[in-house]
Formats: sequence, structure tokens, C-alpha cells
Amino acid sequence: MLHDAQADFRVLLDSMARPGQLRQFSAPAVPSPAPLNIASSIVAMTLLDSEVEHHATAFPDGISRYITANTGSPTATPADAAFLFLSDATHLEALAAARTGELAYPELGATVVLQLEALSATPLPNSLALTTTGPGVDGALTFHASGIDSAFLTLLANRNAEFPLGLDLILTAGNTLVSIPRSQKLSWEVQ
Amino acid sequence: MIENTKFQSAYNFAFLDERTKREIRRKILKAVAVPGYQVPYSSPEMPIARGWGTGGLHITLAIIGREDTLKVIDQGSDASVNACSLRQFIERMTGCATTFDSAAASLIQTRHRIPEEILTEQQILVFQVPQPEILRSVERHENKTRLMHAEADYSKLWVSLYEAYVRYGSLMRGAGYPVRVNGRFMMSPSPIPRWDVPNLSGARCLYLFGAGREKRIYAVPPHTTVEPLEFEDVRFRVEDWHGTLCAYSDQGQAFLDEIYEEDSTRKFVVNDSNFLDKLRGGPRPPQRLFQNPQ
Repeated sequence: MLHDAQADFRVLLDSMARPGQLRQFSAPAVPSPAPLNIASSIVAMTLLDSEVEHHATAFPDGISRYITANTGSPTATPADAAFLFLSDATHLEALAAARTGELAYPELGATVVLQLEALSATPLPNSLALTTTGPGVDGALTFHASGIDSAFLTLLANRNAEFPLGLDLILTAGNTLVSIPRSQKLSWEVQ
Repeated sequence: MIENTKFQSAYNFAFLDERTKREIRRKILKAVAVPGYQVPYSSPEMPIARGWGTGGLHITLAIIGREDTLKVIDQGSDASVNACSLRQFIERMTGCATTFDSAAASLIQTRHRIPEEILTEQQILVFQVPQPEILRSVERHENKTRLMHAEADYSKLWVSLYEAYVRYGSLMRGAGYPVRVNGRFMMSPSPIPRWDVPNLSGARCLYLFGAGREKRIYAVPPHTTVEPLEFEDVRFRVEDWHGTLCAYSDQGQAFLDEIYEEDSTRKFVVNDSNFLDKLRGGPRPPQRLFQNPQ
């Protein structure tokens, strides 16, 4: 358990330091309860404890109880939670409410974990091609995601407009993840 | 004889308990997300005094795993007291492999130097930082420096640089040269010599900074713009030894230590001990060199 948490954190750290690059968690010892996917579950198990509050948006009630039972993390409203778990990209009100930190304390901005249908380095059917630039990216990097739309990304760009305030996004699908910290500039096109 | 094994296994892997590690890990992720910003963290008690490398140690212990190969350097040397005792401590608490070879290490904890050899995507460099606040020399109150960072108000730092120039004819900063990260936060690169400062920018590895006494963690992700403070007509320059070569390797183009002998003669020696070993033993390892402006 202890060594799994360390290995999982290193994957997360590598992912956050290299936005737009796909990373995989190794298979967990305990499966995650549907509809929470493996990567979202591992992010919760690796980073949450009773010191930070979370909100599981549009998940069945059991998911939030599962997170609390396994990490001790209390629940909070989307506006107060340090970690926001979104089941899909349609819940814009939670993204609009999430805290972006203060200018003197930008680290108070929330981490948003969004579950997608698929993430890939190669084009997917009915997907968006997302291109990210910023710290951690050598020039620009494109990856493909299905299950995310322009409305979500436009709102995210608005919320991240005043760097260093903003939201750090972790996209998950299966055991794959891609991080888009607030320092990134995203552009996208429909495929 | 009854061996006391109870307390040998009473420590958690990597010394810190899991809850403390998790707190430090969350802060490291935020530090990476906001490059150059100093994230406050818990800085728990360690078996060494604060100010002796606890910040670097907290980060190293929070991220290290059994598969890591660790290197610890103190001012370029693997063999100085601080480096040896920290390396032995981490080794005993984790059982991980250790090395002197900069290229073979997956995790390097350093005090006041960046290895001369180019670091790769697979490596993380952890700095021990004595004073993370670059504005402390111009503003002593923490609440005010925090406000200055919040408003990106760095005028006092520019003025101090200008005053140094008009008084002394140079920018007068040897170690810990102020840098701007990603065009936003001014950051102390820790007391690395100016020679190392250009290596912070656009690097392939991840840089993490831990200040234990001041309870701050900050980071420079790979491929991030890090600009030393300079004026258009008074440019940042790295140290120049005017063609002096290392007394042991007969090579230049590396940070040199000045060593005085008992008869008061002096010689220059490459400061990075592993780099010096490689220079003496074979082909020169790959380096990124900065050209001083004319």
C-alpha cells in the first residue's frame, strides 16, 4: 500500500510536471467502484486525507462515501472543496463555483479531476484535439480526448484567465491520466 | 546479547509518516502547477536541525521509492559531511540504491549546485534552500513580501539591482541570483552560483526546492522559461576564469573552486566532484554552456 502510494504519486508528479503527456497508473490492488474510474480513484487515495475536503459532482452518493471511508476526507460544497471529482464534462456549475485561490495564496485553487470516455495520443472518433503550451511543455503538445466539449474548456479558460489564480485539471480515463495545471494555455478543435 | 530490533523497524519507510508525506505531496503538486510560487507547508521535525537541509530532505523523503537511485551533493561534492550524512540517513530509511554518478541517479538532492552534466527527463533535482524569499533583502516583513508577489510588484528588487550597479559597477550578486519564472514570479534559485542559473531555464528535468526552516516548497517544471534579472544595457553574466584551467584535469568550461595551499599559492579545481572524476577518466560528459554577452 505504502509503496503503491509512492509509485502512484510519482506518476502524478511526472504528469503534473509534463502537461499534455499521457501517463498510466499501474493496476491497483483494490478495484474502484463504478462509475469512479481507476485513475480518479487512485488520485483520491494518493492525495486525500482528513485535512482536505472533496466534492464528488454527479456521482452516485456511494462514491463520496467510498472516498470518505477510505481516505477520511470530509465532503464539502464545490465552492469549498480542495478536490473536485467530476463524473463528466456537463457539470459546468461545479466548475464555475470551484475555488481558484487568492492572489496571495494561489495554492488554494482547487484540483479538478474530470472523468472522460477516452484519452489518446492518436486521434479518436468524436473527440477533441487539445493542444497545450506552457511550463512543462517543450513548444506545444497535442493529445485527443473524447467526452469533453468546448463549453467546459471555455469555462476553464475563463476561470484560469488570471494566473496565478486558477484550477488544476487532471483528466482521467481508465487508468490513464493527463494533467493540465493552471499555467497552461489550451486550444482545441473538433475532429 | 539481546539485540534491540524494536526501534530499528519503528520508523515508517522513508522516515516520514504517510500522512505527513501526503501533505507534502499535495504541496509539491501545487508548487509544480504554479511555477516559482512558494507554497507554505508543514515542515515537520527531523533528526537534523532546521536549516541543515530539512526542506530538501522532506521533499526527497516524500517522493523517494525503493526503485530510486539517490545521489546527494553538497556544493558539488559527494563526499562532504552534509552530503554523506544525508545520504546515509536516506539510505538507512529507505534501503534505496545510492550513487556518485550524476547520470545514473534518478533523484539528486543538492546543496548550492546544479551538476555540470545535463540532467534528463528521468531525473529530479531537489534543492536545499536556506532563504526562499528573494524579496527578503529588500523587505523584511513576510506579509508585505507576500503582497508584493501577489501584485507582481518587484520594483524594490529592480531598484536594489540598480543601486548595486551605480555604486559598485556590477550587479553584485554572486550566489542566489534573482530569477523570474515563467514571466511571473521572482524566485530565489537557492545559493547556486551564477554559473548554474542559465541551466534552470528550459531544462529537461524537474527542479524542486525545499526550505525547511522557512517552511516553503517551490518548483521549476521542465521546459520553463527562467530569466535572470538584468537590464537591457547591463546584462547577466556567469563567472569567468579568463582561461584558467583545472589543476587536476587541465580543462576549463566548468565551475572552478579556488584552493589555497599552505605556501599561499593557489590553484583552481573543478567544483563538481563527479564531473571532475569523469573528466579525468574519459570523454567529457554533455554540458549546457552559457555564453556571456559581449
